Amino acid sequence: MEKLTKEEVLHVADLARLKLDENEIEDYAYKLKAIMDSISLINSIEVTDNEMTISPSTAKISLFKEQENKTISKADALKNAPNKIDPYIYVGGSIDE
Amino acid sequence: MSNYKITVGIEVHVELKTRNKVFSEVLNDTTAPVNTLVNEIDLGYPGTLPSLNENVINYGILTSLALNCTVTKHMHFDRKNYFYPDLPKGYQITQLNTPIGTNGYITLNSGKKIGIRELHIEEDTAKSLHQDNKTFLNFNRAGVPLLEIVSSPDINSKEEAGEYLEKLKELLLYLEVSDCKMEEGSMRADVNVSISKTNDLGCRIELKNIGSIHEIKDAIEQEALRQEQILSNNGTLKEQTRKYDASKKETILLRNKEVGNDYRYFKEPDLPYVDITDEQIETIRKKLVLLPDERRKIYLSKGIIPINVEKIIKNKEYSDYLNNFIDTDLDFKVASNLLLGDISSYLNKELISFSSLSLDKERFKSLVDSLSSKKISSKILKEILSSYLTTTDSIDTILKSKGINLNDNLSDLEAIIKQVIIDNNEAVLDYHNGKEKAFQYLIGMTMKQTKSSFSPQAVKDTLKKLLDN
Amino acid sequence: MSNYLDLSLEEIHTLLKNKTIKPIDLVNECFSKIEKNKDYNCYITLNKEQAEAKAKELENVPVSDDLLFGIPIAIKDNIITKDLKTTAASHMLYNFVPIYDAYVVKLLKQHNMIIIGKLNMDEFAMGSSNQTSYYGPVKNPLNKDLVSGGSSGGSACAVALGMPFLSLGTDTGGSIRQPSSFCGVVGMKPTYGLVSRYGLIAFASSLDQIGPITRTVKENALLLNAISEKDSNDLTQEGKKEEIKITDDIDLSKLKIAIPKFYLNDKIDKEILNKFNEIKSLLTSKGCQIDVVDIKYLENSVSLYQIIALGEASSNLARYDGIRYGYSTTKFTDINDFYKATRSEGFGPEVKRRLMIGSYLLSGANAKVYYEKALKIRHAMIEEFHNVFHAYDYIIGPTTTTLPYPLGANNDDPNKSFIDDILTIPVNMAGLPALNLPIGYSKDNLAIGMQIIANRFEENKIYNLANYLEQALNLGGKHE
Repeated sequence: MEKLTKEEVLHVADLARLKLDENEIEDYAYKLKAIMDSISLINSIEVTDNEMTISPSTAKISLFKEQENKTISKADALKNAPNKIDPYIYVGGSIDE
Repeated sequence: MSNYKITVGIEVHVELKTRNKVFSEVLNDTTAPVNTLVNEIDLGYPGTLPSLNENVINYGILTSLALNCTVTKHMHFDRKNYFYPDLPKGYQITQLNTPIGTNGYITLNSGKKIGIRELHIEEDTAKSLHQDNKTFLNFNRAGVPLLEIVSSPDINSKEEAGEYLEKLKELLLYLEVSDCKMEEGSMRADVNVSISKTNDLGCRIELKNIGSIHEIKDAIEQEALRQEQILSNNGTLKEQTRKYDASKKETILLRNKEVGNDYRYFKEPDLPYVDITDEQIETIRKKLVLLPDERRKIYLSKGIIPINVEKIIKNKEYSDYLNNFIDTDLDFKVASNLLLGDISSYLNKELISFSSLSLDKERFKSLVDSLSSKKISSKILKEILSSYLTTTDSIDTILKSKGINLNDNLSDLEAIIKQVIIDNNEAVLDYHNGKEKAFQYLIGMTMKQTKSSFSPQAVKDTLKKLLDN
Repeated sequence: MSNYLDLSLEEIHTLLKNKTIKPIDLVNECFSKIEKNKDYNCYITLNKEQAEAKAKELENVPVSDDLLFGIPIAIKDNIITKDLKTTAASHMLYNFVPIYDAYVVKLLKQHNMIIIGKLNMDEFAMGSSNQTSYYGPVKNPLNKDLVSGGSSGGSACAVALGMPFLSLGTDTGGSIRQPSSFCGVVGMKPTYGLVSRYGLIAFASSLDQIGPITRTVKENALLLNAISEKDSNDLTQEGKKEEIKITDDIDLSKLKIAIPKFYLNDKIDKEILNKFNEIKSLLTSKGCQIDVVDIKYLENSVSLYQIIALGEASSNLARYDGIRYGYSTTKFTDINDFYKATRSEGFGPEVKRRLMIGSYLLSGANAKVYYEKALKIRHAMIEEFHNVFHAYDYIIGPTTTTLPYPLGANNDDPNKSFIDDILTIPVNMAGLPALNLPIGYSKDNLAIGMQIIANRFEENKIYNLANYLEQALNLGGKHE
């Protein structure tokens, strides 16, 4: 049975920011390949025009005029943050520029 | 001389100074106290959806038109997916496929056109502060509208790069869409530099986070040199992102570019298409009057000296003010001197802005007229300016109240000058020997005696007449 | 214990109006029922104190003519409730207390409804048996050994048990209709764009809709009327064009109904097909014109769903990074490790699986090749539906392919796990309204449902036919 390479699986896990153990890597190597094989069948389907439906919504967009200020309090902004030192929310771990 | 050709492309991000953010009805003010101008949309809270600010679209159209771009009339937004602590939703809403403007240009003084490949709307990220191995986040900036302006790789020297950026900045300032303060981050430029001996582009190196246009020019020069050294030593270049250390005058590696960023762009399903009508475009086009280059032409034709033209253009308040007088007989040369000289000094001394003066147009014109006709001297101007700017009194009233007598009785003047001629034998001799300085000296002595109460022109004419008789 | 919650909405309203009962009586009865039926695991969070306070507060408010006044309602836990914990059944949001109300919640509060609590569901609405919930599965109200269906399992089961008899669910690929079918209740997936999504924790933005789950068709219409006001916060929403009105005399002889051939395929359980055919005969006997039609692309909807729903989900769930809210790991080496540890510890296996698939399908060249193709087929499928509705008033079919199955049955095959939804997904792809109507029971007394589908914004039509069938079948909502 065909499968993805370990590197390909790890790239996807990296995009999704998920950790995988060796078993999961092996598992996804097959799973993702199987999904792709079944999905690739759609390429043989003919469609008459090239139009794409991003959303079934038929709403006409309405843009806001600059009249309000719907800001919330700083306390509410910080309320759910696991790591905070008023007035900041912070995260540990170094980051390159 | 190096036989490598430098090719530069520049991506400029500017923060728009709309009242509100782009996708939420929160005030746009990055100087507000930390985390006080945010709401659940800016924080990327579960369940939130973007709104869309009409004015951001209008600013985008205006800028597109000013940059000679074609406005995209049926456009949508896209999601650019990546993880970063300053990116609340884990994606940035931007425009990948349908940028609001495409195919424009900026014309340099040489006449060369630098292409603008596209101009698109996107949202700014939160501002992060790195300290003690932690990242502190201020979300006031999250959702501030940005325009990204992408040039074609048409720039072939650091000078062209500098001029392109100056022109772009000047235009955006005149359109009043952005403050364009590089030092505060409201204008940011990423510069792609490559060198090549052929017409094919060389390896592209991206320079990021440079603090000023001046430093960008230096950085391009240093980076081109670095690339040339590597290539002439038979080295190879890899795609990289580098920054510039202005103190060491060298570019420094930030990171090697990976196999290409995998941003997994797709069309934003939460925002319907935006349709822009021809009427809308034409209404906005009407606002595109008197852009900087047009003003330059007018000022030069009205006799302002080139160096002052540039100074006036740099100071949009002055330029806008002068434009009130385009259809009058105002002496623009004298007016520009007055603005750039005594009025600027006065504003600096008083620490106030020109707009806070609310200088009446009629009063400005009569002041310029008096200077232009030499009714008053620049010396008298200095004595009366402060009163003139802070009261509604006429020039004559102020002169009177200060005891300055603009005397027009020429016999009085002749008497004084005759005495000056007697008292300054040597200078008179020098004058007759053709020394121009002696004449200026005698004018000075006369002015001293008259306490500048005669007009400079009258002093000059009378002195000449008496000396030459 | 009182049994007011078994009365009709009109009867309860009269009792409230003439002060025979107070809202607190309904609230107390509801909480005792919830306590009694604890093992069904319908609720993640109870809102007892606030509900009681609200009921007491309403004693000082004159009872309006609004039938919803003082009526208890429960809300699926992926709909944001201010100051009331909202988890989406995920460990990722185990401690998340929202700072704003979803628009639909605002509307319920304006109607003076009383929010009883937050209902169990599949984690982030990803699942169709309510077994992916971090808080454990919901059991089937007709048989505790079987699944409730999902993802709105708690919403459907609570209504079936009358605790209370009104709830809100959400539907991305069948998440209202399928559990409603399994639990024997009425569930409406409204037109995409009828109900505001502001405050609905997004799974797949272009498919998600909030809808009502109730014991009767009329109550369903009433609740949908209440939640479909125009909301400027959701730019994809239009809101209702007019109030839904149900008439009890519908002229069936003028109706033209289409049944897609695909909706009669051999993957569908025989008992379900038989029950559905009885309905078909009933309608034909009343003069309806019913034709079996071929609708192209329906068989591709699972592929489209995997690409579109999981692609969008991989982006929508990127915000769960442990920084601004929710679960946050304490053991990590650098920022990327922080993200990965937080997300791997916070998300359950099904969510991670879908995020992997979604990320993969959008990565590299895949977005261009597959995602854009999927959007084109989606467009073509909508055109197909459009053509059918040119000639027919309704599309009908079974809601599910199977009867409720035993708890613990594992669906690990990535391609099979969406097969449960093959009859419900096409409706979401096209943004159509569709209602699950209970139409009877299997020989083992398990609920069977059918879908009534109409053109966009034709909920009114659906309710009228559903109401007729409900009266004609007279199942009476008795399950025990």
